[in-house]
Amino acid sequence: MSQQLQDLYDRIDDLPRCPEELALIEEAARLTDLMQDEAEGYRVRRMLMDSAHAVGQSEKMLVAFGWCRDYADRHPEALDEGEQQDLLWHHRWVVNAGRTFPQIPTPRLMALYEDYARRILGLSRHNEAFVGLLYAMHIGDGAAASGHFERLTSTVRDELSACPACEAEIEADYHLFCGNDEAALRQIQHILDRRMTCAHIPTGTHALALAPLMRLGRWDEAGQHAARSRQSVSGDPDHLWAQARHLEYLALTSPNAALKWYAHHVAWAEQTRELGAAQTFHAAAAVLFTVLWNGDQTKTYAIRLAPTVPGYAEDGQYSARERMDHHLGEALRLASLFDARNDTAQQRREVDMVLALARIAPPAKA
Amino acid sequence: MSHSFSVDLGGLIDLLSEHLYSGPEVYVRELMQNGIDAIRARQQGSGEVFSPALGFEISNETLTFTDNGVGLTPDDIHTFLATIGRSSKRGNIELIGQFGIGLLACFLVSEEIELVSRSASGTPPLRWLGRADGSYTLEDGPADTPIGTRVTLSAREGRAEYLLPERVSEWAGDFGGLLPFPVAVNGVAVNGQGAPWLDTSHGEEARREAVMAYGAELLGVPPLDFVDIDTGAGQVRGVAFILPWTPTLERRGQHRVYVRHMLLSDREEELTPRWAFFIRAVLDGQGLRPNAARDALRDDGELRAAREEIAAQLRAYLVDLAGRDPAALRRLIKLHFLSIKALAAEDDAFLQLFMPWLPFETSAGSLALPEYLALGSQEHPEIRFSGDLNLYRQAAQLALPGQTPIVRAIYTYDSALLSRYAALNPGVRLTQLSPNDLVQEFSALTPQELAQTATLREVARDTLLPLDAEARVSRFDPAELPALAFARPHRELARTREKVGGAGGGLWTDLLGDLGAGGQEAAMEVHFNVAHPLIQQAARLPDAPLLRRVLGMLYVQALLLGQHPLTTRELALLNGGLADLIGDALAGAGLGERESVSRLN
Repeated sequence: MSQQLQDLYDRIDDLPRCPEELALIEEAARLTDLMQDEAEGYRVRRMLMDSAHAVGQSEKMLVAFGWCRDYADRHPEALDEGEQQDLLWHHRWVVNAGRTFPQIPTPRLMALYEDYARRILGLSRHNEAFVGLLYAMHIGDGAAASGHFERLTSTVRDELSACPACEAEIEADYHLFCGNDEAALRQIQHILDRRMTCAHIPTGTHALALAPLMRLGRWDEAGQHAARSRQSVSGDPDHLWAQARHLEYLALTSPNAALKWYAHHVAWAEQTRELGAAQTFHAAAAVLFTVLWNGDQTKTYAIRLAPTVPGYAEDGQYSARERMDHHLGEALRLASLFDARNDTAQQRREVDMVLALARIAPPAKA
Repeated sequence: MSHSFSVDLGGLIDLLSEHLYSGPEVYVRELMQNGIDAIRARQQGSGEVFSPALGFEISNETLTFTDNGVGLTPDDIHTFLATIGRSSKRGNIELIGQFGIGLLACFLVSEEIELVSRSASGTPPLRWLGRADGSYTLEDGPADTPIGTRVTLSAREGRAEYLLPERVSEWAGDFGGLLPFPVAVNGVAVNGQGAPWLDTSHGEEARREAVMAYGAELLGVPPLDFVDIDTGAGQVRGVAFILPWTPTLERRGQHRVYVRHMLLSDREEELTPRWAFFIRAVLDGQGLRPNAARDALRDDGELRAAREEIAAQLRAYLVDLAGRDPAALRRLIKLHFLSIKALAAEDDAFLQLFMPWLPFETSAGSLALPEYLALGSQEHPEIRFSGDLNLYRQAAQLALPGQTPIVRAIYTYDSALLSRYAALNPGVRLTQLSPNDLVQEFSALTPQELAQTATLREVARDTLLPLDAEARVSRFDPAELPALAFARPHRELARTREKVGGAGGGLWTDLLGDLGAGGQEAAMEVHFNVAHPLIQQAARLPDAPLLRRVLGMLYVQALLLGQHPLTTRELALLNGGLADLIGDALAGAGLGERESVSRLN
């Protein structure tokens, strides 16, 4: 191994999950390719998959996985059983991430799914239910989702299953999908009471509780969940979805704080290639500016936006109406990309559900 | 019909040992905690004056722990020791220990627990003997038992090492490091005399010296400085030592946190803001609550409010230092700029104040922002940055003296900071470099050059497009470079797609193709430099295999110069081109193919 590569590894080892780590791993991948060292290239790309997944750049995870899968197929002898198993475990990430890129057509998603099932010699009923439930909720197939949920909760996990915390949170997602806020909140409390953890749990779990609590008018509890997770998700590109949930909450409880939160996070929302997360943030931003606009065409707000944000104004003054139109337009555009691919209207419904938050009466001031 | 169930105490203890407590040594902490609670109860009860003390006596694998706290009445014993898990609130005093649960931890090291106690309320002394099977006996204690409680343990099989005097001394010293009264093991005090930062009896200078000495012992070397912490929420008092080194990831957040003077954890991370990895704090919270295992703080509103106050106090220290001692701030920033950047990324006002101090890696070396801006146009200040290492390498290659340097913004916070800075300072233009930005600085060709290079441009386009490269002809510095190649963001995707596709394509080729769909651009952009003699010569060639081969080779050379890994097709182009050129050279030297091969053999 070259000294240059070793130096890079040393720097990478000293970094938390962050875009800098990803940039250095990409640099390491470039070096291994220059050296034409495929074995090391595999090792680096395994690191790349984890890093890209953790910093909200799943498109790079897909590319790295494609490289690794190809290498593993061509050199089955190069990976021991543990490494083969590890790659199979991550295969589930790819299957799940695939649907979040609307440019990947449904037949390809099905082929991806079948390839995964073939490689693990047929999905266990449990893992099939996990993958199937996510997809069914994405396309809005309630009957399929219900069947998968039933199987997920009545079959046993195995070594290729998602972690217990992620499975528990999917259950909360399912209740939200069904419109059952109370059940979702009970499941969220179950996760928190058992101190379950994963990359987004419990930070994202607190954020997940915000919308149902707002719909139920349980503002005190919402405030507690918001306080427990806001700092943890702030500025983290892999928490764009949770940042959107906080934006919705702040839009109704503290519009000034919401504007600062918005300014802090909108640049990544405009830039990310994870379009599902971007759609969620745009919808939340539309809620904020709907609340601020409130029918007054002349309302403007001073917002410190980064110059890379579309619509950037040098004087820092922004029309609430213009911002609302922009974000609403983006949320609907992205939803239509997914819905066109899926031949359903589920993503449009999800945007509408977020927009409905703007009609909730804010909590009475103490 | 109702039934009762029994509890397997032995199994419960194993569970506690494996899942609740970090290790058997916690029995020392639990004993001390019970003793401290008893002392507090006695102090706040009658108001009598006494000298609180905790003591361990150890010999022959038997340990006796004594406190001179409030002691236990017969009712207390039945309440706290007969029913495991019962809360042990005594009057209005909220105790962090739960007496019965705490005592249970002693079964981790001993089969029996003997407890002898006399209550300050005047009830007669009692002796309680509990066994790990859940049975216990209660009888009168010795008449000469003083007020307080004595607990005696005998090492279980395999647990003798947890009753060694030197180990108990170490644990008791750690757990009770901030207790304001002595803890002794075999008559030797093992803790200090309370927190040195609270001792103002000898003046501020002496206090500072004592705190710095404490910090030097904690860190192994003297800290750069310290910050006093004093919060209303959680009633946290303590100090944050400024580390004299840049902490690695593993060594971040190792704060020592006490709850009511008893050590909770020396790896606590939740009480300080996440950006504060330039400090190691020692904090004692009177109003904070531990979790069930008592090895971390409970995440509640009090903790969060205390954390916010601590964040404000650390921030105020930095702001004050900037005005009071800029040289000290410079030293601090040199070691801890990542921490300062992390705070600035969250706090616009702080960012405005500290941005001029923070270093950025640029094509002109490490520069603070004022130094950087001084190198560019004063009329139209601009920050040019790239978060893409490939692009930065290319851009730095082109950066010439007199031009605005390029910031290498790959550090975690750099892009965010520059964006926020530009948002807060609209007079400063921020440019995130793309290959297009770089080539815009290339000179456009004159009409004459355009005419002279018409064939070259057309052939270059035809030759390189099948290789997923867009060819252009420009004029740029340095003139010694015949060609420059820029990778577009989807180069890695395109290269991987080509690699996994092989001859047959397949799922991954198709999927990566889908992923890259929508971008009609080629994955590479190559500029041939009309200022270079080789390109000028090539421009005079007709469209013939030689020109195509030359352009292909120059393209591959540009890839290699830019340290871009080659695709299989690019590698084949290089190999084919080299073979042709060598063959031509050999032929020119009068060696036919057969002859040259035979010579090589």
